[in-house]
Amino acid sequence: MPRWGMVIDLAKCTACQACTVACQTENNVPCVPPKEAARGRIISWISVLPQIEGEYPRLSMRPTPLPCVHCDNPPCIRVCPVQATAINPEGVVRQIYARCIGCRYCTNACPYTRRMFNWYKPEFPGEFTEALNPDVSVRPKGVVEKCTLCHHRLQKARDEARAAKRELAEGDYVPACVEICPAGAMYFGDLEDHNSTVAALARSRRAFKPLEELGTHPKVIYLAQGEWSGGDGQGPRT
Amino acid sequence: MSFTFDRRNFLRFAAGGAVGVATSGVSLKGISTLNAAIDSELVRVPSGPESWATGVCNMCPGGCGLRVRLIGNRAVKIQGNPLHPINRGGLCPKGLAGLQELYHPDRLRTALRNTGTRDNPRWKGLSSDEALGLVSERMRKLRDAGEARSLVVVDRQRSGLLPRLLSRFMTAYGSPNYVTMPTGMDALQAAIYAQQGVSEQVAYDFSNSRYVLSFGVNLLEGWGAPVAMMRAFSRWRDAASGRRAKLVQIEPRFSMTAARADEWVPIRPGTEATLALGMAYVLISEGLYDADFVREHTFGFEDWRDAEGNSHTGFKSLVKSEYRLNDAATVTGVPADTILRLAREAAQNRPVLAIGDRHNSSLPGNVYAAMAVHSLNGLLGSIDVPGGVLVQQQLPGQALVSNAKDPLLPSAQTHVANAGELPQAIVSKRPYPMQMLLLNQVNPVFALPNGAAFRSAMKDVPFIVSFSAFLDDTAVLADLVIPAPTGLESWQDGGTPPTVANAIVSISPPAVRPRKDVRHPGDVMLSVARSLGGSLAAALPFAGYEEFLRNEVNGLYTAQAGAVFGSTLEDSWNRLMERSGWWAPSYSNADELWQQIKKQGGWWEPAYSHGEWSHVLRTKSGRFEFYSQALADLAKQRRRTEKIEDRECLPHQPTIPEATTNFPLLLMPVEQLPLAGGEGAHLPYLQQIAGVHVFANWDSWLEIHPETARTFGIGDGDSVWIESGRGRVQARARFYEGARPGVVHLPLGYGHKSGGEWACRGVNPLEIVEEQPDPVTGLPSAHWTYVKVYRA
Ligand code: SF4
Ligand code: SF4
Ligand code: SF4
Repeated sequence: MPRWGMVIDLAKCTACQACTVACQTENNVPCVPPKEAARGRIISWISVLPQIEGEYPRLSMRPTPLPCVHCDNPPCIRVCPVQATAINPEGVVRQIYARCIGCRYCTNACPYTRRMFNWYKPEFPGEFTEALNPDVSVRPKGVVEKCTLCHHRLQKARDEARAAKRELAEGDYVPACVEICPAGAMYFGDLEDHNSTVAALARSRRAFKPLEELGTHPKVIYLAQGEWSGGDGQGPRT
Repeated sequence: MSFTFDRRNFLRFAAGGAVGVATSGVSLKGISTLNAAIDSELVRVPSGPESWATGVCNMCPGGCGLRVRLIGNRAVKIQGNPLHPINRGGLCPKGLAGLQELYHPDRLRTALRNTGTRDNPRWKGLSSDEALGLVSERMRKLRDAGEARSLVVVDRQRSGLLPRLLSRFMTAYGSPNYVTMPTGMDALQAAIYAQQGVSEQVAYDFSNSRYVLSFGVNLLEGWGAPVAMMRAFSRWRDAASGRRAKLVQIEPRFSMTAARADEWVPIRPGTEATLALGMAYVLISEGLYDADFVREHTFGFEDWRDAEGNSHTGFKSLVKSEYRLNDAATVTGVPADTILRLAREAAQNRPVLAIGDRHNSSLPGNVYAAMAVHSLNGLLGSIDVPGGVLVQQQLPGQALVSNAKDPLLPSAQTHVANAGELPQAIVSKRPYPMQMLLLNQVNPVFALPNGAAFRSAMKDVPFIVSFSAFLDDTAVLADLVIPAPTGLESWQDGGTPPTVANAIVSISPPAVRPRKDVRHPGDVMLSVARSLGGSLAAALPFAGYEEFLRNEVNGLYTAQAGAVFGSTLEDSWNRLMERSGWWAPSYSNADELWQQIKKQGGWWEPAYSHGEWSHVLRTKSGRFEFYSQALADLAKQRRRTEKIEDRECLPHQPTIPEATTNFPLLLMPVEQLPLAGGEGAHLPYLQQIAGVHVFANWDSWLEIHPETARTFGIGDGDSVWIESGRGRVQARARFYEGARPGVVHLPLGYGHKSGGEWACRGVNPLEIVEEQPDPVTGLPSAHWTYVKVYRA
């Protein structure tokens, strides 16, 4: 059984936010109007957090692309009163929209703030409906939504592999954000498969898990930025 | 290094969401009733067969290739073309947002004709065919009256095939006035011309460079070829490439590029030239420069005597007398030991690239400062070596059709090269008045530092046509607007993007049927040429833009070089073959080439041969000129004198205007990747992400250091006026630790006056910048604007 996971190399990320927009277009996430955006109601399954620290001129910024980290021990699931969210055997934390009653307990419980509530009926002005992806349902008002690891792409990849009478191979199933990243800073695959790129990177000395101390066991793993080391051939240092 | 997520930061980011949870009074019961009503409100998405098309991104000059996912005849997703040598499957957010442009509610549906006045327009819809008829008629009249030269075309792009069509049209029509929009790289290009004598676009071999000194260039914020740049950045940090390259960002503001660099060197605004020359001082006095290159391939390093026996200052004595280490430290505010270390590091980590001075993709820097920076490339032997400064290859197969010239042309005088100079030329009516202006997908009123001058100059032009998808700030002042297609609904082509060395032609057929009554500008010009006949029809004998493109591809075929886009492996194979003198194309005739280009996205020249000195050093001396003889000639010509000063030909620190008591703060407009080049504000995807570092969206903000703000009694989030000698604009102040005390920043790209509600949010900083013509190019730049800021 695969365990899907993602590795994001913070040394390579340019903070361009292509991942954010690719996710929005892939998953039919509506843009909220300016007034609501000002109230913090933008829905964005993967956001690039700037994380600025220090004072001029001693400043640092660690732009961090943050999707749902698909905790193996997800606090969001425990608080849901109606079992509208669940983790599947492959480790993907999913939202069952039809069951969600919009109480937003999970939104509050997620330490990564990766769950968003639909305050309105989604709006697609003009002909924006033409660009909707038929593989993903549009969420109604009143439910919580979040990153699905582009689960619809897994189904499609499985179908295609089956039709070709072969096993699912590395690279067959890639979420939209990972696929678009212009800097090649994101990797995706089966953490259980020791030969996969993600598994190898997850073992690297630059690897760390966000808010690991909470015991959530995230499956989105970061590689620290490292520093220039005088070009000594050692690669980025941690 | 330990790394902890700061939960407070998270919450601040998601502020609204979190606050909403805490304060919302919606009960569980309330929501579930609401949920019961959901079914009737569901948005249903129609399905259909899936297919893929290739595309060329036209959202910026970056030249990326696209793959477009189609469901039935709807385009539902834009992705990167994995075979395209520029982006290899990746894309920037702007390219992705092209989908919203296609389906945008504010797009022009039909052609529009202004039946009112310019100040008080009354728009009447007409078919694009009727509009085309009007254009032909006007052009015919003008030409018949012997005034062909008074037609001006302002074009959006400089590379690619459409500019070739348009300039060929203008030559055959009889007007020299084909002009393009200025870009942020203009001063840099002028410096390259002054020191290397080449007028092709400069290119940088970023991915093979080991040490990059950026003097305030916003490398990761939409400059040059954005995705190519990001790929190079990624390669610098790829463990597989062996050693990590270093990016040093020298800039007063903590920009995104500064944040992502290996080292950020905060510098006193405008003193980049001094820092570059201070580093040159170190390289020279410690003997760290490339003595072989300097001896073999440069001019003006040592003091020298001209043919008349007059002695001239060389670069070495200039640097040694005026840019000593401690002086440079005092002027720039960068500690002497930092300058020393940077110079030594650079010398030890070649190939080095030095880029600057400060500019972004909209606003150019200063020519002398750019020469100061480029001199480091000369000192460190970075000219035309792998990882160094290259010269962009030209497309083969130019002028395949006879470039039939209009007999009038010799008497017509070119007097503008650049849209920035147009207002002056139009208003002065010298050497002759302009009768007709044709704007190809450009918005100079909004985008030029002298946009206001452009707007008023438009009043002096009797007939103005705009090709535009939206009724933007400039189109709204035209007499006739012909709806231009957006990227996915017409033939698209792209040339070699800025900063890229290898010649590239991207071509793609329409991915979807046009949504509106659009006309491709190429098709418009070709049909005008047909209806005017004569030399025009002879120069452009094509039924439509597709046929024109097809003909250009014939030219590529006859050039017998290059290859169709392929996988990385195929590309390196082709490169290897070409280097060893083989050319093994995947096609055996022009038609096969055309079919393969349509399928794979384009053609390119994968190989570049380094060190062809006669090609990359075309100055008078045939060398890299620290002392520019081209600038000497220019100064002599302009001032009609033989007496010029050495200073006019040597890199130096430009003078910096001082702040005044009335206007104590320096305003530096800044660029963000989503709205780079001033474009993209009409797209919600981009509005949502443009100001993340200051938690802003959908609106302009004023970046101000908290201490500076306090001095002026301004709080975080206050609405403030930003006032210069030219006028004032209003924005919300955002405390930003990355703003240098005493300097404030407004983002470019906001504050359109026309083109739909989304585009018109925020303010345009160009409305209050002071225009200063560059001393060499004469182009309007916007480098020094002092302002005061006060609560509104
Ligand atoms: S697309 Fe890639 S480079 Fe851009 S922000 Fe996302 S992870 Fe970073
Ligand atoms: S990141 Fe948040 S939403 Fe995702 S699984 Fe963990 S707790 Fe749940
Ligand atoms: S960099 Fe420019 S060309 Fe490339 S995807 Fe972005 S907007 Fe398009």
